Amino acid sequence: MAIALTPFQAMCGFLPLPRIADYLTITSEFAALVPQAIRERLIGLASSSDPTGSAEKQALKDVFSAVMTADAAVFQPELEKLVARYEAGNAKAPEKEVRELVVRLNSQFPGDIGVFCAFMLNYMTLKPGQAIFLAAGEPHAYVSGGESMPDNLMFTSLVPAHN
Amino acid sequence: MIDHCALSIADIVECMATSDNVIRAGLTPKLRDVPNLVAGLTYTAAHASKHFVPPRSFESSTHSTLYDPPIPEFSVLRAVVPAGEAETHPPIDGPSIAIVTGGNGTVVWGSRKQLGISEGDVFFVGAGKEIRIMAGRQNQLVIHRAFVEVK
Repeated sequence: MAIALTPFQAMCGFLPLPRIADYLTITSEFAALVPQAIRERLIGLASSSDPTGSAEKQALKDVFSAVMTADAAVFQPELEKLVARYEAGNAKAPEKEVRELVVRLNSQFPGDIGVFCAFMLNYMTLKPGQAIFLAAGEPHAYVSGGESMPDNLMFTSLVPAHN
Repeated sequence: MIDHCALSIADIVECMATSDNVIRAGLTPKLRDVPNLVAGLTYTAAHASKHFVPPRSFESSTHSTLYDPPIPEFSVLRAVVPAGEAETHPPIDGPSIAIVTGGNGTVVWGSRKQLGISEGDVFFVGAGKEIRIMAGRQNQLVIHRAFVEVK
């Protein structure tokens, strides 16, 4: 659990599936990291009434796994294209929420695959006194206020020691 | 019951159960372990609001709020005591560790035991002890107190 003492930005937990499906549909640089069959499965299940069903979880896992294990030869040029497009101000409407985050993450960790997590994880700003809790097995990254401290951002997950 | 909890301060106070491991997979200069991260997640998709822990009032206290996450391992009390005022925390059925995140003042327990505290100090409160937290005259005192209640 994290309690904000100052305004504090964090990425935490996976986005609702329809949001991830939107990005897979409109953000070609992100979609390029995910094989078509995996993409289509998640998009097909996005409006499911049971987002925590086993098929839905598997679809999300397949997308996340594809992104996180993408070959650098594939994702590096896509990331460069994406950042260049956003810096040029050419974000599509649903991308406006992640545009600044993507550019910021890439400036702190240039060329890092984790930048694409902006399309899969919730991003939120906490006011002082607000708190978030992450259950074991949920991914998070703290994006704190500082400009360029190399350690002010981690993309991590907590897992039980004995599972 | 936990036997330890970690508090760290940057822009946040963070408290986590001791049995947790941390696996990193990106956005870090530290060691990465993508296969274990991919294998270890629960893949629960939800709105950001699901992760918020709404602060609640704490017993009869005036200046303290309770953050009670949905796990038994710990809860955190946040006390913001205005300058010159005081706050009493009734006994808690378990040990606590507290960190002063702002200001200075005094913590009082027992008949007349007391300890001067200021920002950055950490103190332990034994199970079943009532404490009184007094802010200095010049500034508010802010304390975060993590505790576990033995059930």
